[in-house]
Amino acid sequence: MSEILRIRDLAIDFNTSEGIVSAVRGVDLKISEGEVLGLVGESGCGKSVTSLAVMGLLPKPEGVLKSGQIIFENKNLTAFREEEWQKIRGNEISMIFQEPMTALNPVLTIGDQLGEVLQVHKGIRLGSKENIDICVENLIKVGIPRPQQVLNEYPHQFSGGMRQRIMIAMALSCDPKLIIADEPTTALDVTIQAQILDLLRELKETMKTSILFITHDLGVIHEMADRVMVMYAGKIVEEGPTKELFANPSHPYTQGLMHSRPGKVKKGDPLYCIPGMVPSGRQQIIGCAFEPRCQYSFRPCKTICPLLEFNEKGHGYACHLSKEGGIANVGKAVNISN
Amino acid sequence: MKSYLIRRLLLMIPVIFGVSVIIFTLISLAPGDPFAQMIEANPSMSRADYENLLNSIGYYDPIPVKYAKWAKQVFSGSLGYSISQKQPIADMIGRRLKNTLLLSIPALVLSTIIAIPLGVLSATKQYSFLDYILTLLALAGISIPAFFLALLLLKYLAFDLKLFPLQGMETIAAGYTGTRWLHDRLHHLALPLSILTTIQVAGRMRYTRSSMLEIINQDYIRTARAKGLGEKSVIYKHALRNALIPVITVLSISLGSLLSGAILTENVFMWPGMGTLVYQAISNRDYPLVMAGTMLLALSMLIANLLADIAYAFADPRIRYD
Amino acid sequence: MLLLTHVLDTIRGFAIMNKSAPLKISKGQSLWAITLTRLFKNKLAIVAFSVIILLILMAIFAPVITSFDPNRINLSNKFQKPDDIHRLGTDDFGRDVLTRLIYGTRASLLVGLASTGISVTIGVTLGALSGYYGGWIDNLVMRLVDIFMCFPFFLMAIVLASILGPSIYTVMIVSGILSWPSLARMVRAEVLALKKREFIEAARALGLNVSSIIISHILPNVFSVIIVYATLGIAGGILGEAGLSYLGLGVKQPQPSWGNMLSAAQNMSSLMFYPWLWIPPGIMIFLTTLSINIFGDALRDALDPKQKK
Repeated sequence: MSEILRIRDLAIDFNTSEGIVSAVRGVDLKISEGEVLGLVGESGCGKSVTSLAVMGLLPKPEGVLKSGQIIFENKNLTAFREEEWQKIRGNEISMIFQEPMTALNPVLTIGDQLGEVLQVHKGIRLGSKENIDICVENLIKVGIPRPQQVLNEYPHQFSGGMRQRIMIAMALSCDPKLIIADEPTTALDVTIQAQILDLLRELKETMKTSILFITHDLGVIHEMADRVMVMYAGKIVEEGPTKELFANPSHPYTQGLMHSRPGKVKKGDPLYCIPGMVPSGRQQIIGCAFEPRCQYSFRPCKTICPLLEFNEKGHGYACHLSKEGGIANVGKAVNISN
Repeated sequence: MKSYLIRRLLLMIPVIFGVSVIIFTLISLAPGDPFAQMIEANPSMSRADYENLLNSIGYYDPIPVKYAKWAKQVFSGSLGYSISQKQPIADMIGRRLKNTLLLSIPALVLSTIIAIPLGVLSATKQYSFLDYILTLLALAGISIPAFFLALLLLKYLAFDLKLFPLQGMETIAAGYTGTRWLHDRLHHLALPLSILTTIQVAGRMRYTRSSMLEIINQDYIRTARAKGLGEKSVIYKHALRNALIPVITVLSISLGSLLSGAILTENVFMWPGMGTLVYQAISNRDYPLVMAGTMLLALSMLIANLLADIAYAFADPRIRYD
Repeated sequence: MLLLTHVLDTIRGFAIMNKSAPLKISKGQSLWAITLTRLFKNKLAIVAFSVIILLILMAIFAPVITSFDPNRINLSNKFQKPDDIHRLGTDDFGRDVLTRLIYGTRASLLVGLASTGISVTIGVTLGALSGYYGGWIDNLVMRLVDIFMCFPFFLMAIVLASILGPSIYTVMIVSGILSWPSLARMVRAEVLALKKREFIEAARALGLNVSSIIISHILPNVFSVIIVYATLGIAGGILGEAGLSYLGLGVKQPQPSWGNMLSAAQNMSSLMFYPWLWIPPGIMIFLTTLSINIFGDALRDALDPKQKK
């Protein structure tokens, strides 16, 4: 499988009125052709910022790319000018956003918004028969009934789930090589969520597109992803094939996340939650970012930042405990009820 | 839409009634009478004649009776005669209306044409030097009293430099015709028009800017960028169309002040418009003229509000009245 | 006073909420503190604020700043050009223009504050009642708002001023009474939106009575709308004073106000030949309203929770 996207040592700062916030602090990431990579983490851990950086859509002028490279099909996107980005966006990389209710322009028809992608990237004139035909075809692909009429309707006439389908159709328009799905089901009802996930899985099978799937929902990631990366405070703390990672969550943070899932608790027992809060990114983090919340914290954690270390299965995590050899054992000792 | 319109028009009736009652009561409560000045100018007038005059206009009737008389007259289709000018009010208002619109419509059009592009520019270049300057100018524009600006220009450009005529809307008794006439008219129009335009540009530019800024941060603008659209089409197709919706609403509402928005400026330039007409009518206690004038202004305000709601429905597909 | 304590409580509430979050940023960062920090990052706002403070000081310490009596008439000394003694010359009664300008600050600021006080009181009360109760109260208030909204503002002011007779109180009342409807609409809209929010439902479920819900839970939340409106309203009041007094319907001579000083320009020869009579008060009005508008704008930005910078 050839590699489609590689991110090297990505670091992104935000200049805010309260000072500089380091949103992403050195992320390495790789997606292969046809692969679904799941990126998990709490809100504020930098996963959405990472995805916006891949699209070249960091909010300006606050968002600053401090270091790193984003290489897409051997092109270094970080060196791109705005016009070059425009040729990539929506064409080779497209994006599905979290909020379908607000992601569509309220005053333009669906046909207008779907068709303009084709006009910009493929030169197929908006309103031409070819343009309409492709739009209809895409709407059918995402399961929208009476596509012909839908083209003349406005976003407010559709439910959240339908709008997300329209967003997906839009993302598919130019047969992109990579789709970034940023929490695509978070804002939806549970039943609709399941439908959208089914649709995405089906599309993944038929279209062989790579997907960068971002979510904070471990259940969703388990269903969707081939490989998982866990992000905490702007860094990747654990990475591995989905099955392997779910079978052996190794970083204390990942373990905490796994335990926080409602299904893990006996009926009547309180839900587990990781004590403490995500660091804000405003202060310098020298050691392990998770240290203040980690029950296994010991001497080096405060001062030395642990590196990702992989085993032969391609499973790696960044924790000083790995050298102590006791991770698996310690992991079993987690007391859920405390 | 049709039933909505009917409902709105029906709702206007109590409002118009309320406005007329309040204005009628207030103007009747104001001390003084229409003939006070007449008696000053003509001391030989006897007390009895003066009283007769007052009685002839029903000055001593209780306010409700006076109001009823006035309302009856209006419903019979006549606005009556001005007390001070002894002319039919409809004719007087007709003439003044034309003069005011001659000034206020060009100001509205010009200021809109100038303000919207500047507002968009200011918003898309937020925090730039240009944005800073435009914002400051706009703030200055809404902070300066229009009549003070008018006085300054009158003194320096019209009086000292003699670039413009001092007042009025044409050179009286010059008997100009053709292009000479047109030139004279435009020459008189220049100062008041530029003052009204400047003031209105300021407000509308600020409004466009803030509306545009609000839209630029919306999710669907990010979607438009994520599609790979160029910046021009993101701004002018996706953002501006949304940003203009509130601007159109405000513009429609400002149609209502076309008739009464420039009273002090009219006053400074002695422009014979609606503002000065009603102002003088109030000073003269010319009751029927005050009523007719203010009711017309209030009605135009109400109609403009209705127009704003209709325009809103046309501009925004999410709004459907029923 | 009650309102103020509740506002402070709410702000304190925010502070406590923040304290539960760890780390540096939240330390003592109340809503107020955040607003102030943001506000004073805006250099223009600082300049504007300083000008406002300066004007207030000028109004208070007028007798200390100038040694002339603002009302002393000296007909042998009228229409003096600005010189070393009368820095801005003298007016048609031989009074010192600079002195009257300094004393005039009092009238203009008082009118601005009092008219805003009136319109805020009426607007907030009616808006809150209308939004909270709905039904016929809402209907009645909104029709009243409709009626006031379609009054031609300046002409109504003239009518009212002719009933009340020219005086500084007239200007305060007229500006106040004619400008509340827009605030009432804003407050009503905010209250309507807030009423549907969970914390109000919770207060109602707890059995709190209506006035305490409105005062302690709803008003603090519309506080930012009110404060911005009030700030800009002061500028409006000052402009209203200028216009009415210019027409001779406002602050009455001999009490100096910027507006009645400007009315010197009603006279053709003063307009043309004695510009020092009317240009300085015009500039003062302009500078004052400009400062207030700049500050109000900055305040609005600083209070906007969506604001990033």
